[in-house]
Amino acid sequence: MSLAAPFFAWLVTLAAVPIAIHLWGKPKAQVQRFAAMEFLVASDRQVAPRRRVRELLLMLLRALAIALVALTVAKPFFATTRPLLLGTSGAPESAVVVIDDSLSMNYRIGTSTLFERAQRRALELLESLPEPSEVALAFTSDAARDLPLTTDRARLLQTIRAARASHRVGDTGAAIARAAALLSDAPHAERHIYLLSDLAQHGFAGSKIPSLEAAHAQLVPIDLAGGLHTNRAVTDLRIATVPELGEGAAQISATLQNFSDTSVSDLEVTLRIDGKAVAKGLATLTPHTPIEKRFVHRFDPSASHTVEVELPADALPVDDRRLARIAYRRPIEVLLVSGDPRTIRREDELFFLETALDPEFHVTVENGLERLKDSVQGRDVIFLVNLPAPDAAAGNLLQQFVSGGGGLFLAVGDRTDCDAWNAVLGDLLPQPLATLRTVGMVASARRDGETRISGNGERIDRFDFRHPLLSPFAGAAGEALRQTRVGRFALLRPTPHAHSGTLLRLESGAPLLVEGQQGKGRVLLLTTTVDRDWSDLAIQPGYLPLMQQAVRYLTRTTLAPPTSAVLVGQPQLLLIEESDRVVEVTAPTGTVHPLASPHRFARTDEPGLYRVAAARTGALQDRPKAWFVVNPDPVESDLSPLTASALRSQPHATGGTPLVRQVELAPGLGALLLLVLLAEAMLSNRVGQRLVRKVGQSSR
Amino acid sequence: MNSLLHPAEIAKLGDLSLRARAIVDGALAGLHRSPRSGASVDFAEHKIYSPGDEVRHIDWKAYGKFDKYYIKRFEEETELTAYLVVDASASMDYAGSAAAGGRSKLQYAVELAAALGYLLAQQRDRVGLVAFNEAVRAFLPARARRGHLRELCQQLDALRAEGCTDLARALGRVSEVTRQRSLVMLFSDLLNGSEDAIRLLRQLRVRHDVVLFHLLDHDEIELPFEGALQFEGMEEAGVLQVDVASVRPAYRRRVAEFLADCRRRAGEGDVEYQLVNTAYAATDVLLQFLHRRERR
Repeated sequence: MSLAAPFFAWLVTLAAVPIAIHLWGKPKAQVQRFAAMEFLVASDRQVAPRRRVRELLLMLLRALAIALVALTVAKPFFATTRPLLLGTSGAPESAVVVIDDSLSMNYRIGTSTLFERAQRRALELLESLPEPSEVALAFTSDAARDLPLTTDRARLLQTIRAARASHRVGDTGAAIARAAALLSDAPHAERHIYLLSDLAQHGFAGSKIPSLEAAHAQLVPIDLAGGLHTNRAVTDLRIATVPELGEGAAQISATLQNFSDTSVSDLEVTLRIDGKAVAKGLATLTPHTPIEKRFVHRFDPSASHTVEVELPADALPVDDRRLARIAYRRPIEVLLVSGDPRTIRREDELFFLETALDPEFHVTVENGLERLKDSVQGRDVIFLVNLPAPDAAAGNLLQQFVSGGGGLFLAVGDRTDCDAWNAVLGDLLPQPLATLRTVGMVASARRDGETRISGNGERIDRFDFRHPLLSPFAGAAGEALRQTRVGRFALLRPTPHAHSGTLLRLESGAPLLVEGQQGKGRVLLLTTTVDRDWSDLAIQPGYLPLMQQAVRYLTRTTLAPPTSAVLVGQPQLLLIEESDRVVEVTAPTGTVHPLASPHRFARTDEPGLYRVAAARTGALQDRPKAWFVVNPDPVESDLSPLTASALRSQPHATGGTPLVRQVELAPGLGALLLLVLLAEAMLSNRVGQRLVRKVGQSSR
Repeated sequence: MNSLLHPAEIAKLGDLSLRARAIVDGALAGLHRSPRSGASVDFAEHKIYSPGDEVRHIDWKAYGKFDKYYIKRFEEETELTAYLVVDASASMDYAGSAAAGGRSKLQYAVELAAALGYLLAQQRDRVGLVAFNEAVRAFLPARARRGHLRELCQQLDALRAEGCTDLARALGRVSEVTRQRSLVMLFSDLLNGSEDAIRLLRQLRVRHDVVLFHLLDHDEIELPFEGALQFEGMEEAGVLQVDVASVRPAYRRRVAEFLADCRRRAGEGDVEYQLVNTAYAATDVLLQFLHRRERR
């Protein structure tokens, strides 16, 4: 408490006067001789205790009255960072109410959540602002929900009442920046940004709070949580297959965290598979220390499953469970056919390729095409590497294989006869081979008599990142391929085929990886070797993912490797057939979302299991393999509040505008003074006696 | 003397007579009946003679008629012996603002006693005086001779209120000097040392007819003062500063209890009790007393 007129504060000492009078002051009374002293003394002895209490009360009331008068004159006020429900000055103002609608605002205290508290405070604030104040709304988790400055109270009230807490991560700094931008050209000189939030640290981890000096605005943070930050959560869930335990066995690892300051013992942890509890365990959570809880479960390998690890519900139940999907598939069968086998394995043409693909895929190696007819059965992808000219029978077999939906990967080498390939493989080749070109050092130069070595080779220069095969190399990941040096490669002839495309090109513009299509199948042609003979691609970091992506692309299966569940707000690629044209996604709450763009779903607003149904035409069919789960961002689970010093260190505190508001106490003290005086009058009975006397006189 | 007995007051009492309630043993005949049969002019009854009776009282005419000895009995008219016992302690000096004529309790008592003495003297009764505080301050034997009333009034007029109260000593003196059945009238406020006054009066009532005039000032009954006052005791050195309003209810309750207790105990002992508020005129008090005596 502070005083606006501290000069008058010394008057409080006058409160000692009644006390001194009570203790030492004996008023000079008139002397009265009296005979019946025995009755007087006895009566006084009888009433003395009661009188002493009454006199003490009177003394206190009088001292209090004097103190209250002195305090009222000194104009006391209370400095607070909490806003008054009335405007600071009572004048119209331009205000932005920033409502934290992030996941943590679902925290429940008593019968209401923090967000519901925020709504109530926002409504009260709105009611208290004088006309014609204009108010805007900003939400921390979704800028799309913001409402610009308006004087339309009905619209503001409706928007606040209709708002719901999201399950997304909030960015308080960004919301305040938007609020400051709104206020920068606001009409009123009085400008405030009211932040209704739990003031958790994670809310300020994103964007920094901008300086509000330019907007001439004052930030008024309102803590709705009151320092409460007790929470526990499942912050991660991972599933790893355990082949040694048999088919379908997997280890489920859940990370549990206790964000409170006290330990929790024997906390029940439940594992649910497809909604049914299959295992339970106990865990002891120490404060702020993640622990891992593991389960092993044997799944039905023929189906997809939803895995859920759950804790007993606390005040923030949304993060007390975490989900994952697991789908077993038949292993992809890959046949590697080498035209240049070696007895020393590391010198073999297939050494690097086999290493990259096994054990991710089921790989079979053949030398030459002699047993191709038998080997092609049951294969998904065939790699033909450094083969001389295949015979016509092999060519036909490959034609049938690709037309039937198989994938064919062709890689040239020293033994490749370009003309024979063109003749036998014909339309299977995305582009006909022209000739070989050497632009740098190659390992086979000394063996085949090639002596002309021109330069250091060529780097990969152009990527088609929009292509599903190369999409994992977008951005910085592209460096894993960009350092590749190619010393020799096959030049291709131009082709009129509309179904072919170049995915990788060298610096000279020559194609390095070309795609083609035949019937239902796909063909990829690499114009250099898959080992280190003509390039160092095989020892580049990008070699393994490139080859594995090539296998998945050729087999038309999942292009991306299985990933963990997406977080709320992140888009999800749907694992459905390309031919599916009608797709619907059913959210955990039962809301059905028809998809215009069938492969990407962005409305992942709720945590839980999303069910996908699709069809080429006609009735929709469930696609369990495409079902996916969405989890909350664990960042929101840590409710540790922003410290006062941290809040002060934010730029708004240096903007020259004070953060505190003054609550005038004089009116309240005045009312209290009146009550004290009334009590004093009643206790001394003077007023009462006068009233009785007046009533008696008037009745006569 | 003249200051005590105003002619107007005496005139008011002129038609009233004071009659003793009980038969008082006395020597003079008068308005009061004697409990003893003897030399009297009014025949009362006959009784059968028994040995020891005065032979001269045998009614010979009755013997002639009935052939039996009858003794004639007479109602003797005797004179009354009365003692006025006046409390002259310091507490009797209190004179409240509401007291009739601004008189103190002692002055009031003296006036009342003189009026009663005058009436008794008019009836040729014998009147005595005992004035006391912690000692007997004045004593006048009961007599009926001419001039005795003047002497009584002079003694009363000379009384000053001072000292403490010792009622036992005063009543002891009364017992010593009265061999006959007498009327004892006590004028006192019964304050300060008079706790056992009623008990002493009840003991006295065994042989005498006792009347208690309990004199209290209006202030002592109602405590009508306002504000803070420093009260000083009149017989004891006690001093008490008090806000009167705070103690008034309790004080009134105590006084009321005290008066009720006095009245009850006096009634139980057949002591006639008369509360006298000095705010009222002495004449009214006297009339009230005489009316009550007359009804008995």
